[in-house]
Amino acid sequence: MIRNNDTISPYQLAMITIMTIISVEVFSLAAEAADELGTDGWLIIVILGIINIFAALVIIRLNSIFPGKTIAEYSQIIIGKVPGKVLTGLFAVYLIIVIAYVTRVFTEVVKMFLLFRTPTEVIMLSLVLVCTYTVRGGVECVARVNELVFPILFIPFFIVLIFGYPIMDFSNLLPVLQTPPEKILASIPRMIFSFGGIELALYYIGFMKEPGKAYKPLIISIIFILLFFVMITVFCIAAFGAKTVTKIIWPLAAYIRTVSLPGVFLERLDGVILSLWVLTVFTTIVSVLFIASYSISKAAGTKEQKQYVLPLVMIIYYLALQPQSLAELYEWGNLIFPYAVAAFMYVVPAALLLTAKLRKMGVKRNESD
Amino acid sequence: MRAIKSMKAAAILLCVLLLTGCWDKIEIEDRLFVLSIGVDSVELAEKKASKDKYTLSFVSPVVDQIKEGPGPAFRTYKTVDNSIIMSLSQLLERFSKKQFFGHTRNIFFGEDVLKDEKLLKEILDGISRYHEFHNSMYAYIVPGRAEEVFKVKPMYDKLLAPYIAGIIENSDYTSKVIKLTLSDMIIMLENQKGGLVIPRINPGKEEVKISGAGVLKDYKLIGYLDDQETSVYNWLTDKAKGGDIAVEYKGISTVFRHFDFDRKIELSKVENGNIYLNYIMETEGSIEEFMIGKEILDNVLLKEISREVEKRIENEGEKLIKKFQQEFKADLIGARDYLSKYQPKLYKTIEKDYEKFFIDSIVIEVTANVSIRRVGLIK
Amino acid sequence: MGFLSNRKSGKDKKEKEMGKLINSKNVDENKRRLKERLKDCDDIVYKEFRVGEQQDLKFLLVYADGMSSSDMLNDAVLNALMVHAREVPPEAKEPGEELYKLVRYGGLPASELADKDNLEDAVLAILIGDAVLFIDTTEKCIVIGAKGWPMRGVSEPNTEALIRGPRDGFTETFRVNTALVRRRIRDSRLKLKQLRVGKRSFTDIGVMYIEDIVSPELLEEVFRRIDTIDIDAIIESGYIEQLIEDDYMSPFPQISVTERPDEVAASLYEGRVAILVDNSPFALIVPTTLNSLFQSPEDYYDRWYVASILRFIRYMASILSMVLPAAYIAVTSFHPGILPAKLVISMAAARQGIPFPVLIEAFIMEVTFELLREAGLRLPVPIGSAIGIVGGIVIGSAAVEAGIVSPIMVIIVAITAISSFSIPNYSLAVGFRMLRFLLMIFAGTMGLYGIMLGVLLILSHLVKLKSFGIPYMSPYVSFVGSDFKDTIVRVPTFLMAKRPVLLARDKIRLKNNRNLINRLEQEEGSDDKK
Repeated sequence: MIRNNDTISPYQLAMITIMTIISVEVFSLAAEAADELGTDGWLIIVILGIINIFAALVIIRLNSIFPGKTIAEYSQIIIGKVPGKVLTGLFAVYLIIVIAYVTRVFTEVVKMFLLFRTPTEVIMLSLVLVCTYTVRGGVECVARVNELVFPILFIPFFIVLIFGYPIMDFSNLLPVLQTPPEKILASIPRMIFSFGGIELALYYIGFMKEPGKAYKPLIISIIFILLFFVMITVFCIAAFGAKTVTKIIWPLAAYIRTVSLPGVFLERLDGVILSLWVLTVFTTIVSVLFIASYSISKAAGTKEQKQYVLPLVMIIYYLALQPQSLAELYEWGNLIFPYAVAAFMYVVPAALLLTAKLRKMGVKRNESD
Repeated sequence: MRAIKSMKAAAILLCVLLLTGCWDKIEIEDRLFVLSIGVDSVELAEKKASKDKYTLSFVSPVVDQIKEGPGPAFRTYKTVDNSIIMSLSQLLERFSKKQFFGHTRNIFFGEDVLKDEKLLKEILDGISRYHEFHNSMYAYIVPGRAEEVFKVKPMYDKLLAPYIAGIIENSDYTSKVIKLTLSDMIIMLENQKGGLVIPRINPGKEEVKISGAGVLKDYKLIGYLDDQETSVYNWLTDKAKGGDIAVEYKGISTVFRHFDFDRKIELSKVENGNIYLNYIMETEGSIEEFMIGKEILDNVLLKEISREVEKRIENEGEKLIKKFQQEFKADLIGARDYLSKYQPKLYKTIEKDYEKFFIDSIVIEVTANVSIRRVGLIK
Repeated sequence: MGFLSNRKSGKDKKEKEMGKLINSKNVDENKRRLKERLKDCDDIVYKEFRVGEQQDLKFLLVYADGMSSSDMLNDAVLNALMVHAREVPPEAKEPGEELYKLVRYGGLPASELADKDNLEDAVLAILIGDAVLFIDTTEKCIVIGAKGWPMRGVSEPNTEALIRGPRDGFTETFRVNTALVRRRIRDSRLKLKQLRVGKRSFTDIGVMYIEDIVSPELLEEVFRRIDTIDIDAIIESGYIEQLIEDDYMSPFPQISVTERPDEVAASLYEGRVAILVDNSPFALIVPTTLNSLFQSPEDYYDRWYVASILRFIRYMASILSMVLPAAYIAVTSFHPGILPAKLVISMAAARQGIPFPVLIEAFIMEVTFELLREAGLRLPVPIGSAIGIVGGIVIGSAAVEAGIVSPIMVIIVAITAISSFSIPNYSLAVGFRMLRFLLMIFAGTMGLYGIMLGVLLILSHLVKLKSFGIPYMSPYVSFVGSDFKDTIVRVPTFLMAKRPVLLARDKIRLKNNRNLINRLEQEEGSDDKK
């Protein structure tokens, strides 16, 4: 059966979601979580995960009443052609900023651990150019690459994580549940970015052949990410203690440095694992970049999205070089992302769904499955 | 289409131009591996500028001589400067090969450095921040100057650092040796508010001896433990693994050997504003030495010997605890840790004046449970 | 030996119409025309003879010496004609026509006969190896299938030798090859469509497929692509391969090539299409996936754990052959912290005094090995293998002694070379070799990060690649559980119930009757043959 399709399967949707959401913030996740809530840092991740499951449900519902269409298309139906295009354009801008941020953070990490003298420009440029090559292959290429990279990354990663067992002291996670609820609520907005990426489902579900099948993969991937994040936070806090972990910029990297695989002759694994981390950043950028170029092509009304990739990449490169230092970068991130992510992940889908329901648009539930 | 093609070509060309430099490539033979570092405060005689604070000593192997001939195959050198990183950059003025610290195994602190709070904090920051240092380095205190360690010419080993690190790893077999990595050190200093117990290394001519430990409080050295006390410390902090305990039973010296040692803490009661903690020590092992002519494979006898060992553990334990409470006035035995984790509400009430509370109002009892399982090959 | 089914495009038709010169009724005239056309072809034999009681019926037999079997012609034509000519009444008005009918429909004991009436077809028939019989007084000529040229015997292909498995391999004769395949698929649904490709070479090409398993779109695509070939000569199947493959720039082959008929048969059973080309013992199989390039027929003849271990080793070897030198360069030049201290010190000791950086050293050694490999191929067998071994050892140790390379480099290069030999498919191995150099450059520039980027580039390329509509990386992408039973691990045969999902219809090919084997007190008479 020769398939010449631009569609993705449910499994690919799950892989894309997982690989996109897991990118650079995993390194600093434990520090941020412990910074907010101390030994209860993992709790906020669980809460966020649950919130995001609801957000995902909203998104899936929205997509299932417009089967086969991405948000770029059905937003034009719901709120009109021009506002729809504006929304899509805004989305593209937001995504471009995300990519620039991720690229820059990752480059900083690489410069810290792997390549010290290599100019930032070179590291970034080489990464985005490779991503360009992939994105030009269309949604199928993006989906497949995500599929392939998932086991290549996670299997060694889990092995390394588990071998940190000797240095872990789980009593460091005590006492539990000591933080007052107000503090928990206050921390949620600050940690939102860690689950950023679910909003891409607004597009990717539109590429599925059977959008009704999107529930299982999306929910399962969020649960997987949740467990993964909790595991990392728990391990880091167990290894370093809640107080010390807040002082390390990238605790996960520090954790990996202290792991030594028994019997294997490789000692300091941070180089190896960071190289594997290139894979996850790559998949994130690729998934987001594809959507960004797709959005622009839809907003501009053209059919093909391939030609927008390279110009976008130039813009991203320029943007990523703007922050003068790591501190400035994090400042910008903390300024923009809580609002942007919340807007696109929660507000926009909910608003569109409500509007669509009110205006009685779209396909009925039992018809679309 | 042609525009796209030329853009692609331009991108690739740009890549090629940018990739012409291999900025981070340093050939392996152009690196000088530093296997150990020593930190001392600078002696007046060596001070070159008024700002100089440290003497750093380094050990590097002489790679050619590793295989051939007897005798050590390493060299030492030192720098004097006012910061860690500046010292490292000084090395670039003197050596053609670039130092590489990724394999540095040991860091030795001279006594003077650990007596100076500010100096210690600066050093620790420099070391934690620099990416090349690995935080699994073992840390030691040297009574005297750290550079003395590097004058040792080990009897059997070619390189100094693996020799010393190997001794540290004997801590699996004896509880008189403490193993402290740099990351442990930093975590402990953070959690215990500047308190630390750090293994002591005594350099000789052809060997070193790691016995005993230095005690720090508020980032300052306040005293030492001898090797016996060190093993008790290991028991009390649940760090001990293997070891031998010597007791006298009816005039006969006998040795109890264990490979595992567990410590649990329990809160007995809170009374009259005092907290009563019970440190429960559990271990099992074998008898290694008795006396020819007497048979010990006897249940009653073994129980009595184990009672002797238990008494020994309890006495030594309580003695050391008192020493910490009264002489050192620092909680380095894990009480704070236990209280903050397992009794958080209680801990909150005493958190502010914990130091004083520890000295006056925490009463610790040590209970030991020793089981003798085996007696060796003869009865 | 073969009836032609012409599937020419419009252009060819016009040519034929232009050049179709009907034969003359006069044998001498035909002979003259033939001789004019086949001027200076000294291997064409023109045999004139007369038969009949009065010896007045002229016949002309034309064939190419060496291509046609003269024994057969002697028996089938000359002998028979001498006899039959006597059966025609001499007074018949058009003795030629009568004679023609007699001869054509039963006079010649040859199994393949056809009529032609024009010069082009006659010439083509002669050049193919058939013999053409011209009869006086009629313009029709008879093409007698008499192909008989010197052939290599069917023997084991030396590029694909197995420990266990049949030892026949394709030869250069088209019909032998098709027969070898048909022997293994005794199903009427095995179809063979023959085409002629090549404007001067008229090479026979056969497309073989099993009708109800193969996907019709695939088949259509294959024929469409072959139709697009407009070349003067097909010398070897490689020409076809390169003209119909999806991506000519990719280092990865998208069409499998094999000399083994059992492999072709197995692929046909999976729903693939095979293309056999005359004059070439290498058959093409489309479509191909990366996974299938790692499979060797032996995997299916041996037991499953043997197969699984070997497959695993092959995958490891291919990764090693691509990545090992690059990893070595990255680790020693950029991140020595990864290696334990003792290893690093001994490496540094080994490299004392070597003037080149690791990257250059690696390139020198790799290039030297490639040269040795090529030289070994060109030399005759007894010298070739000796040079390979001796050359390798001598050059390696001499280089180390001279202080140009370090001993570790020699080991790395040797391991890499050996790994690349364990990849079953030659083009794939060469593809990996090329990519190895690319990765070495990446490693030399940006260390492990560079290698990762290189790997990602290659991965992206692989993922984009399609072979006749099937993604190259199936079943690793768009996966279906059942396809995974035959990738890195090969599950026991009784579990391999389905054909590859993307390729084939008629999914189920096997019924799991394992439990019947293990029931000892099974009654007699249960038929376990399936």
